[in-house]
Amino acid sequence: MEHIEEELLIEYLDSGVITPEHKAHLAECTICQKQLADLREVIDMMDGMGDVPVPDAVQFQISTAIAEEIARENQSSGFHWWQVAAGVALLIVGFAVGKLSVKDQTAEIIALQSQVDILKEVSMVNALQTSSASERLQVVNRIESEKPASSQKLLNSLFQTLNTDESPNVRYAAAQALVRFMNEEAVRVRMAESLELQSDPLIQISLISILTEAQEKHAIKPLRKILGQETINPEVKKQAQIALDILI
Amino acid sequence: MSDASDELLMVTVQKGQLDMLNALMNRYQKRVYNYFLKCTMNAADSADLTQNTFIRVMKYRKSYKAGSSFETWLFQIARNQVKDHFRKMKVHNDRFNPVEVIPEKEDEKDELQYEREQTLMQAMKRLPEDKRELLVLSKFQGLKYEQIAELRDTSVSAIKVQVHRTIKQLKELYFEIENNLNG
Repeated sequence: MEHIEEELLIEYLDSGVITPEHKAHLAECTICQKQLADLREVIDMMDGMGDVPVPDAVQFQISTAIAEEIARENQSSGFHWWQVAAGVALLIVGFAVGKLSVKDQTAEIIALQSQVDILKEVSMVNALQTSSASERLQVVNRIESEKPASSQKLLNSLFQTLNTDESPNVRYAAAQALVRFMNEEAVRVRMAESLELQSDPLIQISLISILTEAQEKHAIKPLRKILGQETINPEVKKQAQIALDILI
Repeated sequence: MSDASDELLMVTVQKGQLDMLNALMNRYQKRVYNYFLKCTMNAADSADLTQNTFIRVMKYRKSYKAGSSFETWLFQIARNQVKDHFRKMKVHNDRFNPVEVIPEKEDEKDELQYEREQTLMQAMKRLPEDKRELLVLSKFQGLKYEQIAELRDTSVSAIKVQVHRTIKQLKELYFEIENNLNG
């Protein structure tokens, strides 16, 4: 008897269906047995490979995109969409800040910093100058996930991104990446200064939450400024007032 | 609403309760992200495509037909995204970062399995995009032949033949790469 066609072996693995003649042949033929084993290896691997977790940044982007979409939908009906957006922002910032409460290992990371880290950092900083928002977001997310040691150059790049990047997604990601360095006073002071520069309500609310969690007194001045400005979004003012009550 | 079916949640979204989309997103974001990841082999692109897919679910919610499978409808949207992506891609990159595509292994015993999965992904990368997507739907995502036939507007038997032929082709590529690696 001729060897069994591979498609029939795949059918057998797929549905368990095989003719009695083929079954008898398979029991005897080592070539067909090897074919079957090879196919099984590949199919089992596809079936059992599993999924990679969705990065936090992607979940964040989707949640933000949904909140923004809801806001757009509701604008015509006069709904205060910033309440929804602020809710999403606080939820996410809360998640990021929650990570801070885990034992901070920055000192240990700095101690272990090697030439490789420095090279990595240089490549990240340079990559932040790229033109596509998607690429910049990827770089900031790498800084968040690879946790390079603190350095002036890295912090400068992150703050520059937070203060000037045209994409809100990239600015959010930069703020998240900076949360890890909030144990440094200089970072907290710069974060407070950054609050004065922000005009996007979502970013303002994010920074207010981060600064409040860090109990940063330097935030008092920009918070008061926010409360005194007429043009500021009401939801931002509300959050600023809550923050001031906590900090003073 | 946590026990509600996908279809019920989607009808609720259709009726204007847009925040219910978050529940559907929580159920499907991992699968959608990994569908894109194995089709494009690129994490950054997959992130953008996943985001766009859920925005489209919201924008085009009126086009969902009550009573039809939400999963199939969602993957129809995702497929259109991936087809557009391949159309726009001018340069096809043969390299990919396995860390982005293959789940981490918990202990060293799995090292061999990880290497095999790397080889499998290299073989997948060598398949034509359309065939690769077919296997992602059928094997990695576990969609039924009936669902894929509906997505591709063809018969179940035609899909079955295509899947079987593609598995055969993948197996050949896989062992070709493995043999080259081993010497």
